[in-house]
Amino acid sequence: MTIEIKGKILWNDPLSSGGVREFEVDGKGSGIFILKGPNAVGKTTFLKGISYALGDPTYRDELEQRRGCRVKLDIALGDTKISVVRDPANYILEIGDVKLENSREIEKTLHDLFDVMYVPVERLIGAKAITKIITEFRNTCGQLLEKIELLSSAAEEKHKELSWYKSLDGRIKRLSKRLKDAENKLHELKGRRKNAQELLIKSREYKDLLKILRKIERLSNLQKKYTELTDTINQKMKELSEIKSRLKNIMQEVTVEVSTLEARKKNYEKMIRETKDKLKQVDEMIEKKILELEKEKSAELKELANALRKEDEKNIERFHRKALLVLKKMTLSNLKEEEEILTKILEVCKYATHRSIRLHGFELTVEEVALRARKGLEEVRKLLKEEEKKLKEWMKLKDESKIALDLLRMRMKLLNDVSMFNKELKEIERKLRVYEISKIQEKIPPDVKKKIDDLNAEIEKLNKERLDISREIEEISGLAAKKDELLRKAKEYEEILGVSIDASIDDIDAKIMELEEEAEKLEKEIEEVNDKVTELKGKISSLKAILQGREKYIDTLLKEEAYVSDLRDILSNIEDSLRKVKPIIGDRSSEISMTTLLKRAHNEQLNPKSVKVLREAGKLIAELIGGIWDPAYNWLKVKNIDFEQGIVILESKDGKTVKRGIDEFSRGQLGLASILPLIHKPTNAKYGKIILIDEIGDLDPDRRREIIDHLKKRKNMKDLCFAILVLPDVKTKMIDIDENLGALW
Amino acid sequence: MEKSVRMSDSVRRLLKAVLDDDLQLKVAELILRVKDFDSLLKAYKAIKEAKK
Repeated sequence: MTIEIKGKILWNDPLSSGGVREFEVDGKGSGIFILKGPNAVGKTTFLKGISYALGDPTYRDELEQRRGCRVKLDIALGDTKISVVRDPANYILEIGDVKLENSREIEKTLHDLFDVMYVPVERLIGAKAITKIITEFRNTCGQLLEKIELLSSAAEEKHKELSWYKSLDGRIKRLSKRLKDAENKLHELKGRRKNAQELLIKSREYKDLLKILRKIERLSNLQKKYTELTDTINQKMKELSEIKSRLKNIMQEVTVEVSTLEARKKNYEKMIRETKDKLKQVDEMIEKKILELEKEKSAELKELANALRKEDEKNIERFHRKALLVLKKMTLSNLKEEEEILTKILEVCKYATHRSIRLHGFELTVEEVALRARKGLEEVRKLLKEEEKKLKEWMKLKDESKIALDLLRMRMKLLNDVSMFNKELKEIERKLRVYEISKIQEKIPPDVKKKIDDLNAEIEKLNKERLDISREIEEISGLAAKKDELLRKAKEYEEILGVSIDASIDDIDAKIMELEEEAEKLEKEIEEVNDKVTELKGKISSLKAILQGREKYIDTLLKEEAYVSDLRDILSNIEDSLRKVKPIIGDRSSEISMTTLLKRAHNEQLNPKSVKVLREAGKLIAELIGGIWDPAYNWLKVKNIDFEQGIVILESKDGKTVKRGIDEFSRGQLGLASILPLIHKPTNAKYGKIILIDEIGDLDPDRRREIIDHLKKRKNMKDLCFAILVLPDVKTKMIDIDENLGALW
Repeated sequence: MEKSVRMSDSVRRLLKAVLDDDLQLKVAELILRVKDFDSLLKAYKAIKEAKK
């Protein structure tokens, strides 16, 4: 019977373009197919899809939920055509004209028709596969060790960084504590300095107070000294007086001579005073005259005023001469005579009114003569009036210029007098000065003069000293009045400072010095501590500056500290554990087969970890093999592989334990043994078994051939519907083995 | 690809035998996956916090 299979499967794959991938293949032949194709093309998914479509629940979850598969499978068994479509939402089975859409019904129908067996690669656990597992384990261990080395180093860095930040934080805390201590000390020192300074101030005040008290005690002495000084001064004064009285006689002689000069001096001074008074009066008169003249209408008088103000003597003289000249030339007397004549003519004319007079050849009547005479008289009188007015003016000019000239000359004379008197006075004064000094110098002996000078200097010095004492006495007298109050205050200081009220100023000075030294010492100490505070603040500030801006990062680091610590331990433990299995897995240079494991299990000194791995490997391989086909027992379950003893522990169907040496199995025997029970399993399905074997590439060609032979046997026994075996290849195709046996390799 | 995943299951089982506990096993798996220590730390933190 020819069997034809057409299959298509679609599944979600977010990594592919469009998010969906598909695999489609078909084959036709006697029923034993080799499915070839590149790695990861979908061959395994297709096999799983066939088992899923034909009702095998093993991979339903994976294909439906995880991958959203949709499978369409058409199987033609001779004339019988079976078509299945299955996805998460639909399950449709068509057999000929019958169409089923109920899942349970479909599953039951398919279960009756086929016995589907998907054989995953794990079941094909040949020696090669076991070698792969162990080698991969060894490689993984190697990778882990390599990565652990890097990660441990990074963890160590992180730990160091964390430790550094923590140490920095610790350092800041320690520095902050030192800063606080230093600040406390500074505070205490400042308090002590304040006390010392207060005591120092009190000591100085006490010193002043003691000085005053000592002064008060000295008051009587001072008063005594004052009296003594007064006596000494009096004595010196007396001595000086005696010398001076001796000198007086000498002086008297000089005085007589001097007094004559002084009398002359006084006389001149008086004359100067009087002349100056006169001068003042003349000046006033001149000023008055100037003002009078300036008020006059006459231009000459105004000019005269101006000349007087300018003290222009020549000009004033000129005015005077001019006035005299004009006055001399005046014709006033002629005019008066003329007036008199004309008056007489008119008188005559009154008495001879009808007569005529021959005058200068002309015949004139008396009336005409009288008329002319009257006219002439009027003119004469007019001229006379004018001449009189002029006369008056020139007279005034003459008089005023004379007065001005006199005043000016008087002033000049007075000025000359003052100048002359001053000159005389100065000469007398000079004589007086020179005369007195030279005469005294002549008459007083030099030793006496020195004695006077000495006495004067001594008296001056003593007076000064007495004045000082007098002031001191005055001051102390004022203080002495407050003695009780001062004593009470001193008692207070005595208690505070511990220096007796009777102590000397030197004692209190010693105390002050002691306090000053203490204050200075404290000052130095404060300076040092202050420097320390500044230094600590600087250090803290610079350390904080390092942390500044990294707070979040450091906070995260600190939060992760426990995890980092955990991981460091875990990495270290994993590394230790992995290193312990080195005797078993060896280095990375070669593959590790079961035989290698067996040898190492015998030859190496095994530690508990290695033993544990060997035992787990034994169990794992046993589980993967599952069972083996044994000619004597048929089906034997592989219970365990004991590498330490070098045996495979098997169990027969009736529960009998069978032990075989590992070396009894050939390279491919283990893998083949696991698949044969499935091939030979009896079945009640109508069309027989469908065997889907994934990845037989791990088996050697002989074992592959052996499997084909077993499948053919079952085909002949009519309980095998079809089988598909997967092999890697560059091109996807499904080849019937009867058509091309070469497809197996 | 799938083959390596399946092999990894076996390897995981063997590793479990070597290591002390499941946590170490998880960390070992993380070690193979992560690029650097920070990623490992992040993943480890997530595991520990998921357990809380």
